[in-house]
Amino acid sequence: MSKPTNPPHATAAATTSVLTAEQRSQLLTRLENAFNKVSGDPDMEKLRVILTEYLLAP
Amino acid sequence: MIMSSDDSIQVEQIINRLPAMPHVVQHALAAIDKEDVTQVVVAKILSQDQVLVAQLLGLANSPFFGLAGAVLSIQEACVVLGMNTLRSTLIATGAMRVFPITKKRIYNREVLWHHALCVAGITRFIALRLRLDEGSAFTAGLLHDIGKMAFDECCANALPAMLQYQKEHDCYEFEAEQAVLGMTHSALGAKLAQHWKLPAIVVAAIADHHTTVTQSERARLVDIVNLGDLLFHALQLRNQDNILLPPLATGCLTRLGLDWSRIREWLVEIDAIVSRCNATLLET
Repeated sequence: MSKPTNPPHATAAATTSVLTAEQRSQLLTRLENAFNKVSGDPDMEKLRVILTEYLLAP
Repeated sequence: MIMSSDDSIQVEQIINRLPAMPHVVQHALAAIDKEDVTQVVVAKILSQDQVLVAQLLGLANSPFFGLAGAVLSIQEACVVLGMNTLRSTLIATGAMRVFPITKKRIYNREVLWHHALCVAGITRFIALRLRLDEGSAFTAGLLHDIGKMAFDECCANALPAMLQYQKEHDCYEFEAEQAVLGMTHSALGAKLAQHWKLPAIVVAAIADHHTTVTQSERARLVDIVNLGDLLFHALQLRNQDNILLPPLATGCLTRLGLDWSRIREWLVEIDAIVSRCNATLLET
């Protein structure tokens, strides 16, 4: 579903580093944009909660 | 529309224009499916194609399977991997040869194969956790979007219009494919999997991985691929913009006996699988 632009080695990998305030803000915006498009689905709402918690965790 | 006049004939034409699964792969898969086959027989068949052997050993020794350096020959691969994993590894190797990573395609195949391998890893992980067949889960996850590569191989001229439609309508790719091409990548991928004589359950998983309105008897493998695809895209949100999350079928988690708290517990491991897949694709 994502736009096929980035080579794989440039995409997500597990990271344990603490997010800066700016990275945190960008991530929250990204999550909001993605989940707003599928709002109203109870499963997606639950996914949004666990994913936000997971990705923002230090 | 590519398939507006007579769908079945058009699909057949597309399938027939695609490169065939390598003969040795077909021969070895047929042998593996026989009950009385021995590892010696399968190894002998595979040895006829040394390029295939090298690719197979590369994948078997990749971080994906966690056997780094342990599999030195095709005979060892048959023993160490076991017939079930060997089957899915063979299908993966064969499919990657049919649709190699080449330049000058509409779709970036490196990205498509990376996505395929990650979803294969995630679906295999879920199947293992649910004590279901990991081999079928790996194959279905790996090939769930194979129809995109088939479109790119045979209908590349029509893809820009489809991608433009998707952009203008801000819709899912499969909706744009249906509107512009007259068929979705799921449907074409399922036809191709059928053509390759893959198990019916794998064909169903490819066909229905975007189907959200379901019947109660839907196979769990279909739900696993649907969920695996969604989790991959969701985790990509960490550092990728413009992601449209694929829809989850109604009742998917219930049918799998799962809930979101359990999936939350799995996220660290699923993240690690994605990292291993990054390394795997670079090595194969």
